[in-house]
This record gives sequence, structure tokens and C-alpha cells, in this order.
Amino acid sequence: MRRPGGSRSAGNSPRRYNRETFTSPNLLLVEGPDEFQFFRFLRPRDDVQIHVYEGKNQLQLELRTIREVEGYDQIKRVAIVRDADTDPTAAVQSVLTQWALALDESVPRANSDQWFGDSEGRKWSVWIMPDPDTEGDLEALLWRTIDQSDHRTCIEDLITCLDNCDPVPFSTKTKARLYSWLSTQHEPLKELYAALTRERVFSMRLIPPLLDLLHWSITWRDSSLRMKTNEADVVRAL
Amino acid sequence: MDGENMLTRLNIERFRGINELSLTDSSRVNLIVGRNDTGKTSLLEAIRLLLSGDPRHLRRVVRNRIERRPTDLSQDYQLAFYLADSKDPLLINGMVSGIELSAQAMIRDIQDQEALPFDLETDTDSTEDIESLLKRGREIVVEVTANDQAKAIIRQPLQGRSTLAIGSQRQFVGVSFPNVPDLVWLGTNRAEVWSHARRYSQLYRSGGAEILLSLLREIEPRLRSLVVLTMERSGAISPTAVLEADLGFDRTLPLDSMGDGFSNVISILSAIGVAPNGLCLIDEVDNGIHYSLLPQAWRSVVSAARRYDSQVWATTHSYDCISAIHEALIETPDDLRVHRLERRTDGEVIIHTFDHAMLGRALESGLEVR
Repeated sequence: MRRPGGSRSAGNSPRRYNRETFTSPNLLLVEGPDEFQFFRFLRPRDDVQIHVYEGKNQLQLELRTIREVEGYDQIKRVAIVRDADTDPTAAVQSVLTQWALALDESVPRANSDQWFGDSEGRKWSVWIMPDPDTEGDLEALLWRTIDQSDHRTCIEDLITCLDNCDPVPFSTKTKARLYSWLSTQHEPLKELYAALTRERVFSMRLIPPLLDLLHWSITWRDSSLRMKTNEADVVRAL
Repeated sequence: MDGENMLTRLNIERFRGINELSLTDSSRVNLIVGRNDTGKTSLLEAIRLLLSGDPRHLRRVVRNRIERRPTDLSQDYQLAFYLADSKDPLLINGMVSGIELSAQAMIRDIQDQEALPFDLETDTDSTEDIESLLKRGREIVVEVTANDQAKAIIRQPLQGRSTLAIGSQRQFVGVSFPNVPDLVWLGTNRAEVWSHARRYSQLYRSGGAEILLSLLREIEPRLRSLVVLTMERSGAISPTAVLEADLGFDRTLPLDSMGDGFSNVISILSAIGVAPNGLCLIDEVDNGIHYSLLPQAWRSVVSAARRYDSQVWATTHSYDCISAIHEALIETPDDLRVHRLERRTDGEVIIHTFDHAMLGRALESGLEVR
């Protein structure tokens, strides 16, 4: 990958000169910069390129666009990662519908984590965060890894209070909650990647859904061999 | 595009570095991008040949673009064919203004001498006997068809060092294609003072000068008018004409004193103006234009193209240029297509087309489109 997935800046500002082409046979499409950092931290393997599609509403246009970018024809497998939000099943269906419209294909019958093919022989899959059965997003997932002793309750109280304000000062409660907590750390951490890598403030072993994600990343290594992993395997994979 | 004077489809076979290429989507403004040696300029040259049918363009293609200067016309023309192999004809066809137009060029032994055009003329300094030229050697033949009906065959003998001049396709062969739009070609060397003056004079006569001035004032608000002046050239018998700008100072200023960018913009806008309802082909469109000027320059180009109902085909390597055209066409996104040419590892060239929304997405998410 030539550069981190573009995410925070738009259009002309700031100007970018080293822009992204596709250079790996495996492509992971993630919703936003936080997901990009999260999966970069997990690093499933070296030949997986991670690209940000900047919001679920942009996915269809992004899929149309990436088909015209250099290196797309070399891609063998693409996984699309999306937040479950309030309905994991609906999230999968939404992705599949956008995929079909963008690629001019029929809507595949596939569940989360299942691979399906396009007419060019490329394999696709939809991965739902935090897991296919739970509503939420990356921030909700990580919130569950924070120990009670780390002032979780204080932050919950703050967010509950703010949530009663008019207007509510945030658009996504899970994001507001997580970043409020990060800001209270000894050295306030504004970026998720810093929190993941430098401070390791999250306890990755605490939640099964995260293990599922890691299982997927291991599965990526050979989709034909569904690896039987347990928690110990996953922790070693970290 | 309101008018119908558009190239909407283009197929190229065995032309220059392109073995086979098909373009099926176009708009009023078409920006061609891609790495070196992917065929960007060749695509423009193919359009030029298709609309003109003039085989001399094939030779210009070669002579303008390589250092080596073969003295043999046949060699020159041969390099216009894919892999310099003229065994099979090169073929360009497309849909222009609703007309299915096709141009096929081939090199062969001269045939049917009597049918060659009678008004062939040699270069002014050539002393070779035309008759003897025609009795031996090879010729390049371009066959042009429109809707599979009208047919023009343009022939040019290839022999020795002589350049044999022919008239334009329409006067030469007596076959007219009234609905085929005019075209203007702007190569990379387009800053000649004479051509500025010539185009502005054409525009002035046709009543289009004021439109050009109003567009230019959006870029240079001090501009009051443009004037064509004659200028003596040392050692030359006749004077030349130059275009100068009146910015409200005591004297007018030559365009070359105002920078390459402004001069380039004048070239482009005036070229669009002199071929109303036509096509304007521009190689390396952003030459000399500072990135900060590009959005306004594009707005002016688009505005000119709309006013004159013209279609623009331009090449660039510049990300700033791509970004600027996206910004300039936010109000009229349907007027833009960006065509990215890519040479695959097997040597074939493929085309990827971005519309305005896709281009915006690529710019937003940091994807390379050049």
C-alpha cells in the first residue's frame, strides 16, 4: 500500500501527491479512519490493502470508483467492513444491495462473513462490526474492553447527561463516549491508533466479538481452510 | 451537451502505440489522463485523423514527437502504425454528430497513377519531377466513409524527400461531409505569436471577440481589449502579426510578456471560439498555468465550450488540473468525463472513465486517477 487510506481530508486541502493505487491481491474496505487504524493495528497479513470508503452512504459510489483505479483488476478478494448500527442483518443487506447496484450484478444471497463471487471471478465478503449478531460499531466494541475500574461509570454519566441536552452535542453516542474516555487518560489520546499501539489502553482479551474479528483476519489467510481458533490462538496472533 | 456536435464513440485499431481501444462514453469536456506511453496524445491524434481524413497529420504525428528525423516519407508514415507495422491498415471510427465516421489508412505500392489528384504540388524548394515520383514507390491512402455511404479516398505518394501537398479532404476529393464538425488542434507548442493573432482575427471577424474578452477578464480583470498589430521582423521581407493586450497602461503589452499561463488560456479559448460547434483537441492543457489559476481557467474553458457549443478533448498529467476541473464543473457535472488510459502488462491499452461524481469520490478518498 502506498499510503494510508485517505480519510480525514477532502478535495484540495491538504494537497496530496502520493495517492493510492491498488497493489495487493486482497482489499479490505473500511468505513472510516478509526476502522482503518484498527485494522492496520490488527494487520491480518502483509498483502492486505486497507482502504477507507468514508461512510456507508458513500459505499456504492466508492465501489463504482475503485473499479476504474489502477490495480483493481489484480485484486482477488475484497472484504467490506461495516458497522452493525441498530440492525446487523439490515446492515449486511444494505451493503449487498449497494454492491449489486455499483457492479451491475444481481444481489447475492450471502450472510456476513460468507464469500461470494462477482462476474469477473473476484471474491467478496461483508464483515459486520462488532459482530453479525450484535448492534453497534467499532467504538461500542472497544468500549466493552475497558475495565470498570477505569472510570467507565463517570463517562457513562457524562454522556447520559449530555444526551439529555437540547440540542445533543454529539451525533454518535458511542463515539462521544469512547473519545471522552480517551481524553481523560494520563496523556490524552485523540487518535485511536495511538491508543491501540502506544498506550495499549484496550484489553483485547475481554470480548468475544473482537476475537471473532481476529478470527476473520486469520481466516483471510486461507478462506478455503476455516481455521479452528480459540482465544489462545488469537492472542498469540496479536 | 445541448448541441449534437459531439464525438460520442471512438474505436482505434493499430494506431501508434494502441493496438485496440474503444471509448464509449464522452461529454462536453473530456480530460485524458494516464501514465507516460499509454496513448493519451495518440487518442487526440486519432480523433484528428478521423475528422480531417488528412494523411499529412499522420506524418506530423511522427515528426512532432520523435527526435529522429527520417528523411524517407514512407518511414515517417510507417511509424504511425502500431509497432511500425503497416502490413495491415490502421482503422479509426467513431460516432460524430450522429454520423458514423470511419478512416482507414494503409501504405501500399502506388496504384492507378492517373487517378491521383492533378493538383499535387511539391514543396517550393523541391526540384523533383512529380511525374517520375508517381511512377515508382509507395503511397499512403486514407479512405473515409460516413454512414457507409459517402466515401473519400485521399492518396499521397511517398517518395524521396519531397512533401507533396494536398488540399483539405473536402475540397480535394470533392466529397463533402457537411455535418462533420470542424476541429482545432493545440499541440504542446502553441505559443506562436502569429497563431494568436490569426485566431483572434478570425474571432473578431465572426463577432466572437467580445465573448473571448469577457472570459479573459474573469482571469485578468484589467484587460480592456486585445489588438492585432503588425511587427517588422529582422531579415524578413514581410511583417508578422502579433496579439497584444491593453491593460490600461500607456502602451499595449505583448502576450509573451504576460506569462505562459495567460497566453495558454488565450490560445485555448480562442481555439474554441474559432471552431464553433466543433471539437478542440488540446495536448497537455495545463502547460504553464499555475495551479491557483486552473479552476478559473477551467471555468472559462467550460463556459467557452458551452457558448460555442464545442467539445473539448485535452490531456494532462497534473493532479492539480484534474482537481481544478472537478471544482470548475460542480454546477454542470454532466459536462465532464475523465478518461484514464492504462497499459496492461501485455501491452494492450484499456480505458477507465470517471464521471464527475466518481472523480470527486476518488479525490476525496485519496485514490490515484492519473
